[in-house]
Amino acid sequence: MTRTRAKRDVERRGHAHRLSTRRRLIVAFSGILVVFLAALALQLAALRRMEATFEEMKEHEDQMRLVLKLEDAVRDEYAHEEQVLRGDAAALRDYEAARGRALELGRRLDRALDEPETIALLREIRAARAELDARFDAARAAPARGGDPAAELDPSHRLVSRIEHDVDRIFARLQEVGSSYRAQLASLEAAALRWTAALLLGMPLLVAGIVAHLSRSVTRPLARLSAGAAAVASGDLDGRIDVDTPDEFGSLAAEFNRMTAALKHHQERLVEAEKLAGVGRLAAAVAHEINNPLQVIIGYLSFNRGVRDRRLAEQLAAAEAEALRCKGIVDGLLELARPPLVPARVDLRALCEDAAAGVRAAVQARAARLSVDGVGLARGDGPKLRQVVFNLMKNAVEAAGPAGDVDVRIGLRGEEHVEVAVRDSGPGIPAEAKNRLFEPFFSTKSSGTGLGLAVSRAIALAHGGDIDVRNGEPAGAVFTLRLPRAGSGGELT
Amino acid sequence: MNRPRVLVVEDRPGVLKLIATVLEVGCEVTSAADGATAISLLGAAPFDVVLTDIRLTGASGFDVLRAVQSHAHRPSVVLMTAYANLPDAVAAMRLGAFDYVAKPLAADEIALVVARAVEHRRKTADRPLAVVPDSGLRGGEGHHDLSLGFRRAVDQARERASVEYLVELMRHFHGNVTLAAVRAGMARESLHRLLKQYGIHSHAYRDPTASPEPEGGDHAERARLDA
Repeated sequence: MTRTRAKRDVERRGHAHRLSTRRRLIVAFSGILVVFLAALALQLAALRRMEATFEEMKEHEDQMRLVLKLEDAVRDEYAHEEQVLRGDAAALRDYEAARGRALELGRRLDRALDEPETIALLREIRAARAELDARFDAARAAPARGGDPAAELDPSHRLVSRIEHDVDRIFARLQEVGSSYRAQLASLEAAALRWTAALLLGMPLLVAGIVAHLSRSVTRPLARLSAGAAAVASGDLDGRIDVDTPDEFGSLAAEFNRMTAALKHHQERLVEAEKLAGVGRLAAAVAHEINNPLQVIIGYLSFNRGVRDRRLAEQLAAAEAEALRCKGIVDGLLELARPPLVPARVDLRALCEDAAAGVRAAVQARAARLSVDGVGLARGDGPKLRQVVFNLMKNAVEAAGPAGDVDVRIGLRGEEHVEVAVRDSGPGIPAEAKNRLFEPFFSTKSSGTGLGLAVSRAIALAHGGDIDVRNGEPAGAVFTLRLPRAGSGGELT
Repeated sequence: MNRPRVLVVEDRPGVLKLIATVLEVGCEVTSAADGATAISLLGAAPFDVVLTDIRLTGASGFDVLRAVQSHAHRPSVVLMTAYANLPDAVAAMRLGAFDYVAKPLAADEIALVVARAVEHRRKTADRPLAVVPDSGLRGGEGHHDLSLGFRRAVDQARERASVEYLVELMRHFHGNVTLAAVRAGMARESLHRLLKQYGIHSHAYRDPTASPEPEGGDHAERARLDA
């Protein structure tokens, strides 16, 4: 249950990135795509404008050609008129053809021209031509009535010159418009060129920038992660990876740090367990080698308890007491080696009261005040836990001194644990002793085996609990025994 | 004088000498330095109690225990060990040992455990082979219960049995420590210390109706107990 919850937590953390690398990639590539499409659309529009301008230019050139052809046709018409008037009957047909051409060109130009100025000029040309035709028809009729054909041609010549002049003006005008088209085209071309150049330069820069940013946001945390992993691989479990970006790398680093912390915790536990196992093997060997000599020593000393000489009796009693302490050490070592457990539901209040009574009986009458408060049910081995609580209380009472106080508080810790906190009003634990307090044979007291806390902790660990120590406020030490809480159901055997 | 006969088996001469010294006050002590010697001695003479170390050269304390079970005159067997552990304790009880004690023991404790073994031997001497009550010790899961501070539990049980035994002694001898010590096969001072240790007051068992010279009554009691 705890495991699935932890897994859910991990998944939730994983989904919580505001700027995941996936999202950043999507944003970056859509950005590039949008810029590219916009550039393409602009280029296409410019091309279309250029094409339209080019078309209009072609139309103008057509108009210019038509204007020149019209001039030619009018000149031809006039030349053939002259031949006809001079009596060349055959030229009449050419004249008709030239006239037809001039009329046709005039109609086409009428459709093509779109400027009021040129349209006005064309109208003038058309009027002059009509006058020219009228004069020619009149002149053809004149020889019959007598007259000089050459004299008739002179005004016609002026008309032709006028038409030529008008055509030149139209042509000049068209040329003018044409050159403005060319200028427009050239500017469009230049703009397109500029855009293309900007794109050619800008796109690679943009893409390079995005790639650089992405790769930096990937490679930098990756480098740190790999450095962190290398540090852990080389045995450094204290280092933490400093990546707190709100993406996968940030949560990966957080998970990695959590993993390293857990690894460190388990390694410490393992080292402790190894130490205890070593102590256990040692204890079995020591028990054989020490208990037999101790048997002889304690046996003879106790056998002579009744000796009459009082001084000798005292000396023997002192020796026996020390020998019994040796026995206590060996017993402690054996206990440390294998704390056997029978899980049952343990009423911690009753257990603490019982242990407190034991402590009061064991210590001198002038000892610290000892009070027990709170309730709790633990899952564990009653006699073993009583031994642990007894040890903690006895230590506390000894630390507090005759005028001191020892408060034992039982309560819940979280959902799954209960704790017994033993607080004394003594001098507290020196920082340098704190780490070694639970080591076998480490003792701050002049008497004692130095195994009490080590055995107590071994028992707590075997329960799936622990003992930790901190200094209290304002003074004294607080030893907290943490134990699994007894469930309501029948998980107990 | 019907002194208890005790066979002490121990391969460490110092320990052997100590135990013999302690027990010789009230018992006929025979010493054996190894298991094989002990087993051969069992056939030679009847003993009330065999006090044997478990770790011996040659045969082990368990071999001695097994050898005892095959003799018609079955002494009570007390196994001693310098390294007390649950499997040995369970095996000892299953094989019918009277007790399983961990060294080091004080002199009085040695005397007391032997005295209780002697008493047990006297009470069961005429009965057929007792069925070993191993129901609590056999069957896989059951005996894990003992693993829990089993030494403390065993010590408490032993203490209770010792108190009961001492009270019974006082009752039978109407608080006469001298006679009780003879009966128990231990030194008078040793019994005194034990009574004091367990908070038993011999005066409380003095028969107020009895004459100031309780010899006759004691003899009668002794006769009853011996029967």
